[in-house]
Amino acid sequence: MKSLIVEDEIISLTILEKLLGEFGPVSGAVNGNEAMKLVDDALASNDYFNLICLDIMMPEMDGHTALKKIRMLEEQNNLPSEKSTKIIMTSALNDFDHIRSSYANLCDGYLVKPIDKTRLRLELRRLELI
Amino acid sequence: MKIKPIHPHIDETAAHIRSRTIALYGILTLFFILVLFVESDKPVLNFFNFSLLAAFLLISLLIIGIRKKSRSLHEVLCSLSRRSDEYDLYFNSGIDMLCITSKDGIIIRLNPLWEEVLGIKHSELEGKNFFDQVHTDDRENATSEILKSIDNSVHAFECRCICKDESYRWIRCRFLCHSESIYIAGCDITEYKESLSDMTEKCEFLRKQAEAAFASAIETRVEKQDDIQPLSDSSNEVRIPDPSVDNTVNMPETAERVIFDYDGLLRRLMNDTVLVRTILDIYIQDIPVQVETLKKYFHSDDLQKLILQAHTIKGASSNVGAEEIRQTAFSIETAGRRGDISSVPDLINKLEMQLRDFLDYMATRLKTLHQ
Repeated sequence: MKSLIVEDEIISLTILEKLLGEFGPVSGAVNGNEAMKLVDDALASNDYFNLICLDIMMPEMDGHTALKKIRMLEEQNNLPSEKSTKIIMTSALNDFDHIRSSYANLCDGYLVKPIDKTRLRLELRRLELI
Repeated sequence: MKIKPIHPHIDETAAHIRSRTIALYGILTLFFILVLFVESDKPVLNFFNFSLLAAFLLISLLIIGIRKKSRSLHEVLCSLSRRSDEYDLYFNSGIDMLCITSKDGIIIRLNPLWEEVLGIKHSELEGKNFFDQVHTDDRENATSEILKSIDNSVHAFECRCICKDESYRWIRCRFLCHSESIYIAGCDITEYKESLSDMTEKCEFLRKQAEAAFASAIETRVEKQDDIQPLSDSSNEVRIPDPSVDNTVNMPETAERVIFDYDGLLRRLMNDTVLVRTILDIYIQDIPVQVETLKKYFHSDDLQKLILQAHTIKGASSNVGAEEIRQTAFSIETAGRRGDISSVPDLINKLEMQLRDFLDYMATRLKTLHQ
């Protein structure tokens, strides 16, 4: 499982890197712009990310915008739905509007911080990533 | 037994018998002619004898052939009759509303379920146009589905059919166009449609309720932020008296403070003590820098950056289990979102004090953790 963590906060980044590192290579980005570049490169080289953990509140480009753009990129590249990246929003924001708009923008899961290893694993199993 | 259809096998078999008989006659005639000309002595007598013998053989062969063929004919007819009975049974006792119409939609045959669902007699429906029974609003869709369908592939449409009492029933029709007929299998989905509509209304109502509840909860939380009590009472949490800083941001005197929820952190990371130590080391090094950055954004009047920075401190502290710091960072973030930053200087003071307490506590605690 190839993962990308998009996170501007170092503790979350470290925890996710450690937890996801058990299942395969992990890349990191500190905002939506960096994430877009990595996703674009991955699509160009046909070496897609299986999972993206995406924070919402980040400088430069927030998670909602990044999510929309990633889905658009996948569409532009005619990526078949079975190959589309599973995106889990990992945020400390737990209000209805953020959760709803994340799902409206086609995220696959939403985990509220603090990051919990059990919940993360359950989510990965639900998405058939592990 | 009444056999309605004439199976093509019967015609084939009859033609086969005829051709075999003619061939036999031909062979025998040739044989007689040969005998007549080859036998020179008493040809008439010989011819007569041979003719008798040939006639006998011919009749025998014909009888055998006819018996054999009539047996196979009988079998074919029995099989056809059985199939016809099965077809009738299947058509009349199926759970689907079966109907066969001509290509123009004229009803040729229906099963009794139509009468049961629509309340219109079987005889009244036969010969009528199927689409006359469809609600005018659904007729265009139904006919266009039929028109654009491809032969021998199953398609479907949903329509309201008119009942005898002029009410309507929702029918989901799967159909197949074959040759000059349309084969329709309908299913009464009226109750499903009604419950779906009811469910949609309820979902919409619940969605509005949930939105209102969320909005109300957030509002209440913002209003009561200063009164929030520590959430955990785990034995491993550190509780010390709160020194008074300022009445506006201070917790009640009776409250106990939760500096660090070690048990919660261990549980969340499934007792991975190595990872716990790693993130605590990072947090201790990083959090003073983050708090300084927060102060800088506050003094530079950059509200968006202030909110984002408070959110970052909240997230990191939440992950580590630094509950007090998380709550104060949340208060700063909320104040920033409301656009009322009058309380922020006091909250920053409180945050710095909590940070000092946390670092003091961790200085001793980490020694134990690193052993």
